[in-house]
Amino acid sequence: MSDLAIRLDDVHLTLGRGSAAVEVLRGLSFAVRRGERVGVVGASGSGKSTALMVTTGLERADRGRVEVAGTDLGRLDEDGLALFRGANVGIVFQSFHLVSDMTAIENVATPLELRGERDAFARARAELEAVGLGARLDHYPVQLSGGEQQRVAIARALVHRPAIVVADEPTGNLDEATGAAIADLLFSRVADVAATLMLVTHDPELAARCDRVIHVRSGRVVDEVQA
Amino acid sequence: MTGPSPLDLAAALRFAGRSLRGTARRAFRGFGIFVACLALGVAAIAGVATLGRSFDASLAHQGDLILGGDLAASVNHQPLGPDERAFLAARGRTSDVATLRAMVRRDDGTAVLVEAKAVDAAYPLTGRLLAATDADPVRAKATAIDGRPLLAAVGEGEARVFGALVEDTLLARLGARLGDTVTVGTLHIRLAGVIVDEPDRLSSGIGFGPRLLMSRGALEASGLLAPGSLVRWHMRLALPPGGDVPATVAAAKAAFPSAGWEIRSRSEAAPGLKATIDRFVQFLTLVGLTTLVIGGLGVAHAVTGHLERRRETIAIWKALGATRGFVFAVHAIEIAALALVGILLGVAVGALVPHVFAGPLGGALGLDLVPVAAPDALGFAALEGALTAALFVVLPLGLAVDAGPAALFRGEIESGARPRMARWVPAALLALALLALVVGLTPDRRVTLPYLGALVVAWAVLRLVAVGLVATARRIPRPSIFEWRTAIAAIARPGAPTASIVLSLGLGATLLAALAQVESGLSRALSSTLPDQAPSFFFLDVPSRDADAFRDFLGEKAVGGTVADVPMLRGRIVALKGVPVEKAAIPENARFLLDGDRGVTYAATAPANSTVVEGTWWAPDHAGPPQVSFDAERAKDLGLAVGDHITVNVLGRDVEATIANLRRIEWDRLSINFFMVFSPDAFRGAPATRLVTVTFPDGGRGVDEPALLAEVVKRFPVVSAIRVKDALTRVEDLMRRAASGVSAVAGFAVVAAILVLAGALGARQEARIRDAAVLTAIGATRRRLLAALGLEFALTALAASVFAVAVGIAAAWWVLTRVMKLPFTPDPLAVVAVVGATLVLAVGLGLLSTRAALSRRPAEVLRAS
Repeated sequence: MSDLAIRLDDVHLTLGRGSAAVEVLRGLSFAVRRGERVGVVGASGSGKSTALMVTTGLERADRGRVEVAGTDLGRLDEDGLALFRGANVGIVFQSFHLVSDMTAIENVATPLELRGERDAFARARAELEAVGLGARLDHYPVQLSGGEQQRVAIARALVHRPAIVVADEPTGNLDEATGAAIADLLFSRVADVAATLMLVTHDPELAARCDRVIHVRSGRVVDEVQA
Repeated sequence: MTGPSPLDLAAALRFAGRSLRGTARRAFRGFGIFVACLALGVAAIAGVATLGRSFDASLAHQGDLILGGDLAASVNHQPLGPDERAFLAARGRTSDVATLRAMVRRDDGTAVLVEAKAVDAAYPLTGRLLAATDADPVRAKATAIDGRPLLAAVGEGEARVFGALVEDTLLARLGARLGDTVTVGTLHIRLAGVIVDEPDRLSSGIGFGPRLLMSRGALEASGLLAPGSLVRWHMRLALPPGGDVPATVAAAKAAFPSAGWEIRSRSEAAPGLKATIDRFVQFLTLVGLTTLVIGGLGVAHAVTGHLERRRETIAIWKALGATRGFVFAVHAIEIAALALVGILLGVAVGALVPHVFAGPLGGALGLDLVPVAAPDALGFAALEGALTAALFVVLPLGLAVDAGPAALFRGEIESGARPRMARWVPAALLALALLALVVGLTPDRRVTLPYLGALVVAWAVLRLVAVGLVATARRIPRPSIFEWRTAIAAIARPGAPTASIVLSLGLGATLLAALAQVESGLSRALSSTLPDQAPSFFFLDVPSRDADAFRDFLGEKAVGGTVADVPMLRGRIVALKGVPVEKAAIPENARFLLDGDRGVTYAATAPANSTVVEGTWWAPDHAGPPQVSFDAERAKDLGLAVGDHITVNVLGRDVEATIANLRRIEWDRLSINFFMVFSPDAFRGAPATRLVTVTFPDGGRGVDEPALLAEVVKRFPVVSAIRVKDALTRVEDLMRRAASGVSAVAGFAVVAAILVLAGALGARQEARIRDAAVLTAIGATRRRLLAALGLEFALTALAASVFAVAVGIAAAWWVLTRVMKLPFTPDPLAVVAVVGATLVLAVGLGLLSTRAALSRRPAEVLRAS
């Protein structure tokens, strides 16, 4: 089995059509080892978030190879990608992306329910307690603060014990103190489950907490720094 | 894509439940129109269907009342023979009734054509005749009578005066009151009472005049029973309890195969009315289907809006590992649950329709309309609703489900994406299933298929109009005037509701335009085009012996008029090509030709206003086996050709004739014409009366027709006169009643169109609020924003209505010229009315829906976004 959790090789992607087309990734290549924590940084529009989308199969590369947890994502169809994510990947979004019609516990239980796990709610409860939201199980997202919503998102990303966790600007929508607490929580929980972490951020301090930092500009890796 | 496994299905149900909970928390926002659209469509179809069933059931249950017995044997011109009478009399209670048209006149010359009925003391065999004898029938308490006290003659010798019961409309038209004496034929008769309920009224069909009920004695004394008079004699039979009606009918036919009678049993008491109701119900069902299709647009729009709101959730689920099948199943379950609410609501309203309309409709038709439960009809309406909902849901749902999660996060599903081919397959199957269901349920595909075809064409044309409008708005140079520029940009922008507005408004307007043009065309055909060419009067029952005197009289009194007259008898086709009509395969559209007696005539030469198109006319002095000239179109319907034989029973005698030629007849000129014209020797010696017409060159303008009528009736009291203008008024009145029924159902379609329009406008509300705030922030006044919005809606509605009117006119042209064989000229007023109504509706609703957008403070909106 390969030691690599993530490998992107010469990945190209253009978004939009016609005159509105923008080549977002232009030969992006990098690799992440199992258990490694990698920060991806870059300016706005550099393609770092798109790199995350491609890595999780939320976006398909036009060209190049994307291999995650030993699986070539280019060989999977839409449903295959969804099942792959359900089994291997946990995602934390900048804007939380909680399902507004579901309570906190329902949101966290969703990945387990989708896999047909019978103890989904028990495990979701435990995960929420682990992120400090044991008293907020039945609250809807609108009834939670930004920090609490992101805690729910972290719980949801980790509840099914994925091999890989990706986080896109997880503190971007939070104030400094809350952001720091969320970062602590994320790193701590990722360590607890021994997952690989790919963290997209524009915050150098946050990136510095990773084992390695990849710099992206104009859709390409321009630098790599070992912490 | 893989379907959900059983475990997935359980999870899908849980997720759908949560999703529904969320929808409920938002007060079902966006689904009100979804439910209302489905409910309207299903209610229209279910209501029409249950009403139709109620009619059928009422006609069936009241068959004996309507027929006046368990069976009725009817012949023309002369009463049944003694043997036939004895046969029927031996099997139960019998009653003799005679029906005919006659003139009633007052001393001052006022004359009115009546549908006269002469009854014996046994009348009515079933049910009760209700009449009021009070001078004020409104306040009168109707009393059940058997006729004898009122109908019997009073007085003695020369002073004997018979009584008559009449419909109240006759009193009004004569200007008479109860107790007055009027003249029928040569008989003075007292207006003894007003008929409140005549149990067997429907069996004689729609008449030209009000009813006058008198005794057999009165009829015999009236002088109306001249040889050959168009009197229809009925002998009704009420069997003892447990009597076998079909067996009795069969036995009668077997015993007297050449009686020339028409025997109807109570199960076919009013075949003409039943056929008319069936056709009307079928047409209304199609209008109801249009409502459902327009409502389908609302369904599609609501679902698209819902999925747009759920876009992020779908993206999240997919990011967390949900497959397309799972996401599809969750939303399909949720939407199905809401559709079920709409369908059940529609079914409930549909089931109530007969209860609400039974009174007025039954009253108008003279039928005790009893509402019935029709679970199968309601079930089919629900199924049509479910198929329509599924058809309009599968594509937008598929589009949202198939989009990639990243595209969903970016909000790209509304930017002109098209469903993939795999989604079109279930859509096509659903469309086919719906079509099969509609066509399978229809009694006459020759009406249904063209209607559905027209619906598809209208849909396709309007779709093209919508695409063309958006493309044009994108391509044309932007005007420099702010309001115009903004309006055109709004039509062209991605996600604009242009297509929904054009389709919903357009389909509603197409239906309205077609109905308005057909109604207007019919009205004009009846009231303006025809009378210039048509006779002013038809005179029936002119005794042959008085024919010359009658012509002379008209020559003197009807100055400038052209008089035409032909002999006339009543006859019934009993065999085609040697096969009795009961055993012949007759197409549905030709059955009415064989259902009863038809007028027949004989002539040496071809009648005017008809052209021999096949075969040759017989020699003027033809004296061989009887020959007949047949209406070419009817011959085609019946599968007859030149050289075939037909057998017609006239005056109880079967006459077989060879078809010598076929004629194309110009029925629309209303001049004398018969679809069967026999050679002169065919009925030699038969006591025919004459049918006479008077035609004035300019349609009778300037002629005092009522005065002429009064003189004719006074001089020839046994002649019945039908004034064409009165008859046309009666037909127009019937047409108007039918049109109001159609309009009522079309109203459902219009309401559905308004709902869809409101939904389409409401769907863009948030974007409009944001745009309005931005434009206000950079200096646009509220008035200018209103003007821009008004222009946007007006331009869209104008495009929709112009093309809708064009399709509506094409449909009306087809109905009038091809189906009804009438001339057609578009009615500009109807065009203006439909286009105007569409514009007012679109601009009015549009501005109403955007008032929220314009009333929000810009700062508040901009901060929030």
